[in-house]
Amino acid sequence: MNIKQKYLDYFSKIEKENEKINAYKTITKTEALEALENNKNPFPVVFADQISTKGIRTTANSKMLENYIPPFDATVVERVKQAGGVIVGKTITDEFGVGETENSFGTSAAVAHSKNITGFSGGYKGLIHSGAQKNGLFAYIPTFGLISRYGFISVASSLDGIGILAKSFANIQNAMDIVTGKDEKDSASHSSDIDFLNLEDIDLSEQKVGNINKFDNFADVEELFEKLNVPIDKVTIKGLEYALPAHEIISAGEFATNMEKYAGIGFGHRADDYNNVEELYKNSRTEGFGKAVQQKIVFGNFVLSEGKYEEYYVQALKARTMIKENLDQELKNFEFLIAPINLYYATGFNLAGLPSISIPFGIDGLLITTGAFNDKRLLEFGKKIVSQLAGEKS
Amino acid sequence: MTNNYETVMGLEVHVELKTKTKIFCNCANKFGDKPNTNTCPVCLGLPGAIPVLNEKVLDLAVTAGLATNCEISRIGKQDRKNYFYPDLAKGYQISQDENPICHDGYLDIETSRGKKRIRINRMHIEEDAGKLIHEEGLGSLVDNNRAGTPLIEIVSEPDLRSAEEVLAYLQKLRAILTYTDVSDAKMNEGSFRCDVNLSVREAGKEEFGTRVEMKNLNSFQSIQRAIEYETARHIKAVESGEELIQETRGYSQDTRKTYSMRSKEDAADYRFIPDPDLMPIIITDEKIEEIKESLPELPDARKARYTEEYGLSNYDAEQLTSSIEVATFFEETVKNGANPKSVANLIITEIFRLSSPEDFDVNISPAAFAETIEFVDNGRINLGSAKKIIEIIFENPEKTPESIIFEEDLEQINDRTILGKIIDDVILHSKKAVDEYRSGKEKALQAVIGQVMGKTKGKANPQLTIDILKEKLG
Ligand SMILES: [Zn+2]
Repeated sequence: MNIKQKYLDYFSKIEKENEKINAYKTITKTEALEALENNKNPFPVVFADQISTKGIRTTANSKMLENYIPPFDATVVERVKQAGGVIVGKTITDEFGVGETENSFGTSAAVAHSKNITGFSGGYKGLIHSGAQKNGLFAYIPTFGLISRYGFISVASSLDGIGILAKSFANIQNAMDIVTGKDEKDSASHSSDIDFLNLEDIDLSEQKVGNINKFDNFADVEELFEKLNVPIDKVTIKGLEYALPAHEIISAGEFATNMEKYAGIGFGHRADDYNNVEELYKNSRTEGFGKAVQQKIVFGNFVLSEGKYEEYYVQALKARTMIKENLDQELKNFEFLIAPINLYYATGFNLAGLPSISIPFGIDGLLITTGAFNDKRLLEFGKKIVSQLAGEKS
Repeated sequence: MTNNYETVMGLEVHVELKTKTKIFCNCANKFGDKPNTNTCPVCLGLPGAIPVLNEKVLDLAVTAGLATNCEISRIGKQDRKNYFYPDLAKGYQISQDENPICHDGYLDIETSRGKKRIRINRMHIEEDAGKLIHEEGLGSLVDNNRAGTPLIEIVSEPDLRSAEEVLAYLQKLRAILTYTDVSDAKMNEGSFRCDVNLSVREAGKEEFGTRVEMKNLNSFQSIQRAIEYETARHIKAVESGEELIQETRGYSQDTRKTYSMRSKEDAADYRFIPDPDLMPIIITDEKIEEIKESLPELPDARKARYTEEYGLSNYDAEQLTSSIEVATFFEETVKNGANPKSVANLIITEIFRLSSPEDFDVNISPAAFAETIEFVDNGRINLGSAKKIIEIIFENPEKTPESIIFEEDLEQINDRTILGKIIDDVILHSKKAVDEYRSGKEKALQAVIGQVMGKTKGKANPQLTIDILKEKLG
């Protein structure tokens, strides 16, 4: 069967089933078939509808951007397209990454519902790990800065690393190989000469692993590690209990200001009824944003307002620094830290800008982090566990 | 009455930096192009487009800081200033709240009351907004060509006490910025904008009066008039016991009055937040050294050189160094062999009348200007004819001083015999003035000289005319 027919079959399947699985905001059949022309190395990808795609509407799953068609590609999109990536659709997200939605895990659903699709979605809050666990996928969020944020419709810029979802490790490796590296359009982006395609085979028993689980629902993973002969030590990350509230405050502050540009002027939803410019802003924003988005903006503006900034925002930044320092400290003793897939840990890693990988396993799944820019070792460690797991099963 | 009060002023000056590209994107930083042609996702604030700081902006800000004796921050950050305005695509302006690039500097100014040091509180980098254009029938449109133009805002301490000091400070600042090629600093094109913070207090009092901020001052003349108007308004209010309110006021060139724009109560909470799209600014010692070494000769140094080398007065030297264009024109003319003092004199009296030092647009070459001055100095023409030549060349740059002297018959009459005969004739026909002069009215001589000039079509050698007249009437 030729490649084009494969894609056509996939599209006819997904067009029928999307309503049930709620994966796609926009299915890009025409664009995909075009991208297949003269493509030597086509591979299917989906982008969360928060990642800008030139000529393809990008809504952030919001009425505000219902009809917004970006005139440019996000850097990840540009790089994926150059490497042969064929965009099959834009996937459903929380509204602007934080609000109401038909499906928080649209990207996971699309990847899970295919043979070989690689998905790209915001790494905000480490939420994609939950989607991956739910859908039996791997999710990888690299060190902050390894993937350019340019073109990702900002939630909270300092927490907006892009993550990758796939059914196979090979797809994650391939994606990392393509999309990482310096981008002149994002000053937070890092150059990288890591060879993600060739991972070394490692001996699990020689790895230094800390277990930061605070709750007692992790027995399955602990048993697995014992079986695989991986020594693990219990570790407590001090201050991690502040990760969620700190994340809430910092992200709200950044979110509120990131959302200021949606005012019915240059782009986005514009109210029909207004008598003056104040009303234009107000009505456009009230109509264009869902309730949860509005609430987050209000909260964000509260924590940034005069008098409250010191009390909330500065405190949250201090907590962030502390959490990062404590994680860095433990990562000197242990190369890897493991935890169940849970926002309690994932937000901490997100605040610290550390890479994380999730492996679907057992009840709560397995989340692993390592030091900044130690991404290759993290992938090697994860891959080895996965291959052992596969061995266990067979 | 006015002497019992003191006007206290501080200035906020916004300066557009002379960079090829905008502050956060690669769009051309150009004035006057077709609306919305120099734009991109970043300066249009499109979703997902993020800024990257143009390093050249830092270099120019550090240059301006060093040239105004500022301390330079080694680590800085950029902050978002949040407010809604249609010309502000992102809904916030990227500026600097804490940690400005430069701080604690000063400028020395020269006024009729002598030398004075004006302290600079801070200097920070920020982006300009777009421009609202109001079109009949279409309503308000936004031109985003200006959005993302790099600016520095220079904030002085409240050290200024008079309009004269304010103008001297602005002129000095302009001079420094043009010398260092940091900016074109043209007020009429908006690349040099000044807001004045003003309050009035009774002389000798410590505490400040109610402060107003004046905006929309787009010429030196407007600034002077606004300050004078506002000072008078404050004094009147204080004397009549009327309460002044802290507010922002605009200035109208038509009415020559200031008017209320918004009161302090309407002031927005800008909800400053460090911009999470941008990385911290780091300025190394090496960078600062490098820029220090590349600084050109600054206005004060040049001024000192002019007084020493050419024997010019402090005032004249200050005028000539007030912009790089003026100073260059002066030096080029001197290089062409003209007497420096004569050059200075004619630039200040004549050239400045035809083109202000701010937008020094001079349509005469230094060589032609030098030649004209030499003709005066060697007595071939008089000063009045020199002015005439300059005016003609301004209109017809292809003409030479030589050709104009011929065409306009400007050759000065230096011949004692010829001039003596004309003067005899004038004396005969100006009996009244002559009598008055003889009876001790010195002034009356001017009328007689005027007659001589009239008769010679302005060609008489003025000094020789006076000498002969005094002999004949003495
Ligand atoms: Zn631009």
